[in-house]
Amino acid sequence: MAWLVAVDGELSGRRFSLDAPCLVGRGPYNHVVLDDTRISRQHAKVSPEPGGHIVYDLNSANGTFVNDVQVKRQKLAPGDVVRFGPFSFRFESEALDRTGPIKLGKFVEVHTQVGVDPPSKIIDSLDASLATNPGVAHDLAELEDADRKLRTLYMFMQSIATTLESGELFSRILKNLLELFPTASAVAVYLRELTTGMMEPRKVMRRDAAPPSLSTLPGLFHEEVVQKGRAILSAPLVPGGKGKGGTSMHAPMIFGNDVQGVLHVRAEDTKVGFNQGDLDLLTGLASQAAMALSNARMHAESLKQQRLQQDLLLAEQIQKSFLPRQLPSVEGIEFVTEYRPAYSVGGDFYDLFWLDHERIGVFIGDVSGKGVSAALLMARISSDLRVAALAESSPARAISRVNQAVLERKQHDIFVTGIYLSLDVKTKQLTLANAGHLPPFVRRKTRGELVRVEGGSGTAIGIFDEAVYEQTTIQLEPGDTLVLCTDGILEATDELGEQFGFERLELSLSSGTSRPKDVADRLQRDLREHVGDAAQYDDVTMILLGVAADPAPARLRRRDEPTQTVKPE
Amino acid sequence: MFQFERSEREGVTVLTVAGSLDAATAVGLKKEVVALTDGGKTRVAVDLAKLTLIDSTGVGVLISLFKRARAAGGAVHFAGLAAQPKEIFRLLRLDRSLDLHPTLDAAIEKLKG
Repeated sequence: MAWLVAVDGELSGRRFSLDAPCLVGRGPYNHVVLDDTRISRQHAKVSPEPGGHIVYDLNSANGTFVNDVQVKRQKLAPGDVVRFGPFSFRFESEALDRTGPIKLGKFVEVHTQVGVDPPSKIIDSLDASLATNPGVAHDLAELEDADRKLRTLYMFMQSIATTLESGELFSRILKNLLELFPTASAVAVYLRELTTGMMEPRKVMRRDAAPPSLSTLPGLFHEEVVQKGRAILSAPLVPGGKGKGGTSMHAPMIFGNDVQGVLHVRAEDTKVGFNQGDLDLLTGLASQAAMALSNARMHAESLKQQRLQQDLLLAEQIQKSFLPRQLPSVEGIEFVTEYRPAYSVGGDFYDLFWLDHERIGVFIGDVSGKGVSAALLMARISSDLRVAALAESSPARAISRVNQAVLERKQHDIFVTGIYLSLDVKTKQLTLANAGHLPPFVRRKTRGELVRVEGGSGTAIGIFDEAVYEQTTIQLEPGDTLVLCTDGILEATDELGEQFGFERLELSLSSGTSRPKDVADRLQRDLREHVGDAAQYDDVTMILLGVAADPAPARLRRRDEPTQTVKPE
Repeated sequence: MFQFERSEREGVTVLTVAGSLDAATAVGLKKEVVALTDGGKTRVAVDLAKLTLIDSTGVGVLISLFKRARAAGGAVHFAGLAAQPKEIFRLLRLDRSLDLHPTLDAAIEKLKG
């Protein structure tokens, strides 16, 4: 047992325990706080060491004196007067004339580990000991020491918890570490790299002005730290004797059940390092740091989510603004459209419009990429297509024009797949060109009869200048339904990761009746059943176009002339 | 998991990609594509033998490499396409218009000189 006992001034008579390293200075985190401008922020340290107590001056401005002799490092003898600026203390030690353990009750056992345990544990233990031993005369100095260490952790937490920016957080953590461990020459914070799982240095700070060099830092950590989450003290002190102490400390930053990072503290002077008490303190600090880091990360993630959300809302508005609000209405032809974008906005889009009195243009497409840029491109392609469709009666040539228009915009990483067709509402004949899109299907009236249309196919739009597009002509018979969809349907994945795929798609399309509404409902139901509630799937967009089974003579109504009926020639 | 690697062979830049190239992993490769073409590396063989999965964003990055290199007077050949990525290339009809080779050696042979 050893103390520094204040001999003058306001503190006169106060006893400060020296059983653990004791920091003296102006800063509030010191064990002995001397609030005077003549005292440096961290002025000195008194450490219990194997040979006795040593006082270290920590490069203070006004020096540390033992019996009025200025010292840098001095072993203390009982009765020595230690002076920091204007404050004098007497060094007292009882260790020499004690033989057995000191009986001061349960509290002392706890106390000797103070700084070791998280604050809550210390408080619990203090409360417990005070409650069970109300009559025991506790050493006030011991109690104060526990309180100081608790306060150290608290101050540290206060200091770092007010920032949510990780760069600033690392700076604050490291500055605090340099202040709390006066013998440390360099401190560093490492974080686990998500991709490699390795601990990578994120910030390094040195006490002197020398630029931090990563090469002097450990590249790999002991598995005790990284795997088992235990703090270690390594690199034994040179003359240290019984293997006590070391010059390098590593404490894991644990959050959840994972070691997210490591706090590293090292001393260059191989005679003055750290002891178990220091390591325990660092362990406590590391757990606070992990919590603060976790908060900062959650904050960053929620900011990112907010920005993404705004982007998606905007894209959704753009996209909705150009999807047709009303479908062409033609007697004898039934249109069904389904449009369900994943994550509120996807790359899918479609359009249906009158080309002239007898023909309807139908487009379904899928732009690679998502978000605002994809939605804007979609909007432009939509207008490009209408222009091209009116200028070119051949769907292949219309697609070719759109291809040129997209290439001219030089958006290198975006391309579009799509099918454009024109349907003659009188003859029910359609001509289509496929630009790298999922082939269309024709469901014949008879159950089980399904045709996959492989003709008229060319490369996706927006890749090749010289792309050549072809077209194919299909005659729809009464009761036939043409199905156009996007590949989100094929990619819908179940709990086991199995995709819906062509086989299930074809099975669904070929069963039941051929009425467009029935086909669409069945496909939606089969998709839901396949996916279950396991996963969200990609955009699902489809257009179905059915010829009435018992055709009345087609009567047309144009969208922009809703009341006028046009008699076909 | 997705990885890529750039090397040089017989005057041809070889870009090896492995794993799953999708919206989540494409960012790094996108930067590499820009760095490559901006740095004048426009004769590129892309080794896709270890590519296991690709989505439309991933295809977009490979296409941007192709378009950028061609715009700068270079050429991009692809090698070793298999499994799901091969299906996607076929669906997009890229197999008709891109230069695809069964092996990296064959792609380099076409590009060198």
